[in-house]
Amino acid sequence: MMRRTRTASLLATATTVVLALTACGGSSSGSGNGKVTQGGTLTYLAPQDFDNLDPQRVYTTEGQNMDELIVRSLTGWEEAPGQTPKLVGDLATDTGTATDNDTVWTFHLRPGVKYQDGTTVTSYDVKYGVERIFSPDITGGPGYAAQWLVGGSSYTGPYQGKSLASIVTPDASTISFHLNQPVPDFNETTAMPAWSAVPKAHDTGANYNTGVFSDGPYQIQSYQRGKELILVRNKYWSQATDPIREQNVNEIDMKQGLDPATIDQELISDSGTAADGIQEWAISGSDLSMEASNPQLKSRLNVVASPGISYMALNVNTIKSLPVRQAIEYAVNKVTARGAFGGTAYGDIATTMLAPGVAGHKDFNLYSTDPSGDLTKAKALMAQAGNPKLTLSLATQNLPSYENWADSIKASLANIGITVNIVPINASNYFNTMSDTKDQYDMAWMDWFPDWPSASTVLPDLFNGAQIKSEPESNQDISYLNDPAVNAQIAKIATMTDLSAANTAYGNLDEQILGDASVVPLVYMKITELSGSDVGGLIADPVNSAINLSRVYIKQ
Amino acid sequence: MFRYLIRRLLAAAALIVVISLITFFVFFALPSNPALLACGKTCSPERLAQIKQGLGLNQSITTQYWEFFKGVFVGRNFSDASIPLRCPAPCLGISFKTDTPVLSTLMNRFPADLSLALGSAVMFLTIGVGLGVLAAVKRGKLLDKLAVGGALVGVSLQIYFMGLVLIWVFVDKWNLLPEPGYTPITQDPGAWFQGLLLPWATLVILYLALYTRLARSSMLETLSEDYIRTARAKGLPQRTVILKHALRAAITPIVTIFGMDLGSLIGGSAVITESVFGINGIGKLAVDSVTDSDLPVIMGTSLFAATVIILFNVLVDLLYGVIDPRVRLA
Repeated sequence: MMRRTRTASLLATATTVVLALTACGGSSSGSGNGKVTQGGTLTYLAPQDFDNLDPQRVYTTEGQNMDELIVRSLTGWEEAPGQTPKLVGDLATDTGTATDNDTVWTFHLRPGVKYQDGTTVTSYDVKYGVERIFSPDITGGPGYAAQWLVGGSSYTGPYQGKSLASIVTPDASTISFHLNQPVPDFNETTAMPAWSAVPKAHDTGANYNTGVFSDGPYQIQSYQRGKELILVRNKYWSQATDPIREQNVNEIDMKQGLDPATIDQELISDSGTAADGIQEWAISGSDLSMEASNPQLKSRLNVVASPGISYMALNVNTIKSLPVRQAIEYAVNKVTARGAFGGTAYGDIATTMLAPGVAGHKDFNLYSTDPSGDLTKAKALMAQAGNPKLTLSLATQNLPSYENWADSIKASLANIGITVNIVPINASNYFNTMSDTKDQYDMAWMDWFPDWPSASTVLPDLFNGAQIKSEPESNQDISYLNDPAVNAQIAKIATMTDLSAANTAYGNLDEQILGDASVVPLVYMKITELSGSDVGGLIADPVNSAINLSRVYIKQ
Repeated sequence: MFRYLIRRLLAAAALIVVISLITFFVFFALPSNPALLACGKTCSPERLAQIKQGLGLNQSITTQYWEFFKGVFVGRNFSDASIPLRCPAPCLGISFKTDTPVLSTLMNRFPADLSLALGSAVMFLTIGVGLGVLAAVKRGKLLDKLAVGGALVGVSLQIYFMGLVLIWVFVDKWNLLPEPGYTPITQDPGAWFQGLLLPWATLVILYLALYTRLARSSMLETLSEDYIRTARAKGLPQRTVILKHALRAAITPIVTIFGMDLGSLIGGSAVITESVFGINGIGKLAVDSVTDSDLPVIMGTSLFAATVIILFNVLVDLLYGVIDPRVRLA
């Protein structure tokens, strides 16, 4: 999934001044270890409203992170500080049973899971919830259900009284999904909020965003879109039925529409409600390098090693010469490119498309061993290509960090005689513009966050050449790579039922793709957020690339 | 007078229709695709077509505009996934993003803008005109230089900067004020006042220079008029000369500018101030709607701003007749 586009901070230029002033005021009591206490109100500071909170429509890391507190999905990730996330049953008793060559997945619901009105969650509600995904009015959510469930391509949701026959509910606590292809990691898909229960009586259709009916530890008390969301305890939630969440704070008060710089400043000062607060968005740009280098803030900085990758796509349609693309791979100075986004705090230098946290990651480096680039090799490759005089376009977002990034690429490629034309594109429309096949650029800044930490949500999305034709307005293959060998390998791995064999194959495929030199991997991204000194129980969540709040508490 | 008013209001209505047309067609000229935004990452062409139909984007632009225009007078029916949705007149449409009627969102946000605009306007008008008059009377003296220079420094400091400095000093450092923000006056007048004090101050700093300089130059011009010399020669006290004779004549251009400023402030032009202080007003709504390609909200916010500004202009023109007896409206 693409993490929500960061819109321009109106304050980008002024922040550093004020922050430098305030840096002396930070207290440092640490937010890591301590005794879990009950009570208090967590203040959650956000620049924007969620795109969606409706579990069947949510598709941003921010929305999914919040939904985890309100709704329970069939499976979930058990997470604790410093531990690798483990897939467990959430609504379901376990991680599901696959039969018929991984095409039928069956889950049994835990007894005693209750909604906020005290009624019991049933498998019929889960079926109804998943069916909602198909309605044209329930927009924005992931497309896996439509892609995989038998009959999904023609089903249009439950509102006209039709139900989907491939979701079978023999009794109130059992649900089976019949898929049109083997999906060995289907139970990781079901950890997304979409695979959750919606009681039909409380479904308000397109307005369900503000009325999500809770079966998790917190329920919506009030939600004024764009202003404020207040969550309070769901008194019918029981710790005994929930392996991945706690219910420590009394209330979560989310303030929306604040400027990112104001949020940073409040949290640094750590005064008033900010001491009980955390920010929703990652710190970015100059604020990030400044806060990361301030020793007084260190204990309050929460860092998530995300499975996200920041990369540069090279359009193989327009840069046809392989030696030229390889020369670009060698010439790019990844250190200065990363510097534009905040330096080392932004993440580690990448050499593969699958980040270390992604199942299937294989450690290799086909190009320069020096992250600053290898100009000798690059120049030799350009000579091999006949030293063409090239002028290439480079698309980037029209925000300061991104334009600095583009400048660094331009400087790198000037060294091998390539002239770069930077094309800044409106940030709010950036991904839409890039995924429209009518707008093609020679090179482009891109990033990608997997839907769950598996190579199957990275490589097929980014390098399956078939989508260029089949989804001309939402193509994610920005390199326009349409390598028959790669396409065939993607199709082959999709049918493999042995997960570890599939992962090994994905690792090799990553290397094969890098051999085509159609992408320059730049940074394995990290998410950094500041929290108040009274906030404890925060978990760096590498699955969702966010600071997970499911065990949060306020020190009393 | 009455005929004048009718004529002005009719012209205003025509202007608003033109603005709505321009906004509507500019939106479709821009490279945005709201259906695709709603559809998400894995979007099949079939689903995209369904969503376009759901948003009414499959119709021709002229039909879409006509539906919108008609809705303002007779309301519209939207068929929602589960519940048929009626948007009563005056219907400005339903947000693509939040699925709520645009008008109710605007009305929800309007009190914040009104509070922000009125509070700051009262302050910058009185302080600005006061300083300007003083500066004009003490022309060339230290007070004149301080007033004009100080105001200029104020306007040169960007809101981004001033806002954050004010928050840091008064909220974070000295803990004199709560975190700024908007609380409805009906809910807690004390919190309303305290929460808006810093946003007001920021806007005052921004607008003060304009009003000080405007009042100063306007006053200087009037003070050099013959009738002022006559008034002084009659032996009228300085107070009367300045406040009754000079200021009344000098205030006309100030009222003109003030009418437009107040109108645009209420219409949501204080977007940076809203953003810095976390006040969810119409300005932020407008910016967000452009970001989200949310056509109904873009239409709603621009029409709202245009209407307010036009109304204030009419109001200012009417006021001329009151302030300046030489102006006769017909």
